[in-house]
Amino acid sequence: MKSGTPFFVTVFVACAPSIAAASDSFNDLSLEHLLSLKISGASKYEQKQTEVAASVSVITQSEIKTFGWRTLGEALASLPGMYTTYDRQYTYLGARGFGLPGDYNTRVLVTVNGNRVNDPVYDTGPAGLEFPVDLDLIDRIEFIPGPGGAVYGQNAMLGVVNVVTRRGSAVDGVELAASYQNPQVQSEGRATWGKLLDNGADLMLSVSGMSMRGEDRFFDYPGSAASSGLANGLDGGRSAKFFGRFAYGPWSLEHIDGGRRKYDPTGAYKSDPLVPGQYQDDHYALTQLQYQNSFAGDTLNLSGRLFQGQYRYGGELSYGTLFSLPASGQWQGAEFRLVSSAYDQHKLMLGVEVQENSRIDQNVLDIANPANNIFIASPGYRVGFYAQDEWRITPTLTSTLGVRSDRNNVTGSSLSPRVAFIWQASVSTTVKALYGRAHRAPNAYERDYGDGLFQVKNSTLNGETIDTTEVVIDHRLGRDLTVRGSVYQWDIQNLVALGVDPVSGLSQYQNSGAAKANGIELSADKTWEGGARLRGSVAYQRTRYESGADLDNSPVLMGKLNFSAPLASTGLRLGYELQHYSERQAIDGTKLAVYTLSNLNLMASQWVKGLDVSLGLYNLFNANYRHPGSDTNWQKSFDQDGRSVRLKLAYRF
Amino acid sequence: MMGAFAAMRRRFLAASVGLLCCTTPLGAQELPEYQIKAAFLYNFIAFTEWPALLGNSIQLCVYGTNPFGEHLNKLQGKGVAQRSLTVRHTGSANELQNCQIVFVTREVISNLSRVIDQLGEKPALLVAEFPGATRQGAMLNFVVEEGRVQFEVNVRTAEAKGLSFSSKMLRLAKEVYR
Repeated sequence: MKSGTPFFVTVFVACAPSIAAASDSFNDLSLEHLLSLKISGASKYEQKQTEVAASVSVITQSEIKTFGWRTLGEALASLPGMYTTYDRQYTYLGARGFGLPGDYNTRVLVTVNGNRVNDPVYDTGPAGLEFPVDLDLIDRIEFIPGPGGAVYGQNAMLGVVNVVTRRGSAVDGVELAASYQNPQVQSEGRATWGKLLDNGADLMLSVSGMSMRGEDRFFDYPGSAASSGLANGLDGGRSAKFFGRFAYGPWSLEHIDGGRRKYDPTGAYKSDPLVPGQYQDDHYALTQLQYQNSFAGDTLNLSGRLFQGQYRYGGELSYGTLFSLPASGQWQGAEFRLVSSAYDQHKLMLGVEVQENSRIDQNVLDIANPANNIFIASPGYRVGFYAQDEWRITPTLTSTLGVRSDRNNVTGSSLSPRVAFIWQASVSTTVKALYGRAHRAPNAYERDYGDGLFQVKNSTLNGETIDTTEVVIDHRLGRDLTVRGSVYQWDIQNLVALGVDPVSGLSQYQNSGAAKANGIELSADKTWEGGARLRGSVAYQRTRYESGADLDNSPVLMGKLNFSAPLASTGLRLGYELQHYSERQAIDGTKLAVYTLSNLNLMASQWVKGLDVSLGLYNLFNANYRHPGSDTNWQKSFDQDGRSVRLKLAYRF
Repeated sequence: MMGAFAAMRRRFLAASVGLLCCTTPLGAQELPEYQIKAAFLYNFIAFTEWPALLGNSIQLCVYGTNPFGEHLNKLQGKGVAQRSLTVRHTGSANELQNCQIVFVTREVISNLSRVIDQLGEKPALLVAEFPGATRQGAMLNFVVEEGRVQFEVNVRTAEAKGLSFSSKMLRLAKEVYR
């Protein structure tokens, strides 16, 4: 009671008018009163998933560790309707039945802390070992399926993947990690330092490296000089990654630098088979300065970012003699966004994004005969304005209306609208009806690249458009079980796809008409008080061209199960993953067999203080399965890795 | 015991007024999220039955980047549960040993097990703001629902450290794990 009296006096002096006016409601300032207060403005953290105008999924760092995922693609493949395709060069993402061979992930936007990773040369959203951020640095992965064009513009056709990195405060010291995987002889290492200083500055630095020998596999090269053979020691690769971030108050500055080389056992781009030393390099350097702050009692949120990016591709392929195929893109720009909840029942967002692609160069260098060199330059720009209103029409009905207007130097102007209604049907049930449109301008590779070796350019190539309608129902059964059902339809017009130029007989990107899909996704997520969790999903989709033909590499049925549980008394945590994929059609019309994949990961966190030991068994039952190749491959399909074992140690202090 | 709680309640009401009314008229029903959460934290301390052996001060530690602005620092030196309250911010899990209440911010929630290790068997109240944290060792957990701050309680983990909560607090909790 020592300080009690002075305190009361202070309160009465400072608040005399309000107290006098509301002395009767003095008792309301109880826990009950606090519970009834509304938060002004938006909650600091992301909206509840049931309130977002999409069927959002979030993958956390703890799941990444529990299941031992090694790439962004592996983490995303655990979600309903998502699948990956690996051609021993890159990992391609498929979503909602769309994963055309020859598509370089151009229809999924990948961002890191809101900064676009898709480059302006190939539009690629990297998902395999070429993704420039170490998975251990990820706090969470947010996946928003469906068109995000009304906010994000280019690439957000089938979904948006936003990777949020951990903060220095979460590292809180030093982390060292090392892993070894067999039979690929893959070694990885990482050193990370992070700290929240007393003055509030947050710092993080991390470096990682990887090297692998790969697998020795037998390949067919139909149509080439060497029709088949064992690719001995041609599947190797290496990578180096850096991440740095400095944040203070509303400001943050971050830099991502990641490069990867992958050697090529396949004779990609119909290069000479079994010639050692053929490789592809991908290098990203992405810098972002961000400002984010709230004003007026959190009812006005202002964010701005300046970004600068560089992407370099390098490849040496043999066509009789060695050709070098360097390409690079450099871009910079700014985005500003204003979110206001000052108007009752409305949340308004206004934004503008400008990106200058100052350099987009694609070169073909004939090392033996420089007279044949080809240089293709196609710099350009993009500008987008967007506006959105989230309107709470009644306490249980909210609508989201949004539109983005884009202009670029390739396809001119386009509008991407979005309309959503979210109905809180009961305390435990939410129904969402969603419509959205997104556009994608063809990238420099699809439109301008031609080498006379395997591809010709297409100056008349146009942009493509996707319209998606979707109904999502979220239902909660008790506090431990949620279920979700989603029915959707998408319709792509002017689809940009790899075809064959009738004149030269070489590959060419062409507007190949319309394609359509109907699909249904059902998922459930159950947790138990002891710490176990089971999530599972079934996705069924039919994809068709307007001609009635099926889309290639589009499994009709996918099933996913992810189970994790602490193993009592051992200090171990188990993560078991089961995935089932139905047939995929290869580009020659053959069907690649159904397959079922199991991955098992065991992690010990309590054996030694600060040490995580994990043992991962990938493709546990050594299933034999294949993924489709594209028109630029000799092969129509590729064998995937058999059983692999990875041991990983991570120590922090 | 009820008498003790009633006395505590008078005191937390006073502090709540100090926190809330000076920036917004009492009639207004909207306040910034972390102003509300700061007032909750004060109430949590008031509604917790602390071991008698505890000294005459209570240290509230915020682990992670301070999301409260100045709202929490206003509690510095205030009286609560017959003790005086100090507020401390730290970015290091190793500096939490002397805290009686630890608020783990969302961005460092992955270090919850480290915090639990650091606190050991001490009677310290562990508060988080992350879905599911009540099952991972947090005794109290904020959840935001329909624009309102609610909280969950895990009685078992609190009792394991010799802490108990008033029946009123348990009644008002959104979920009580036992």
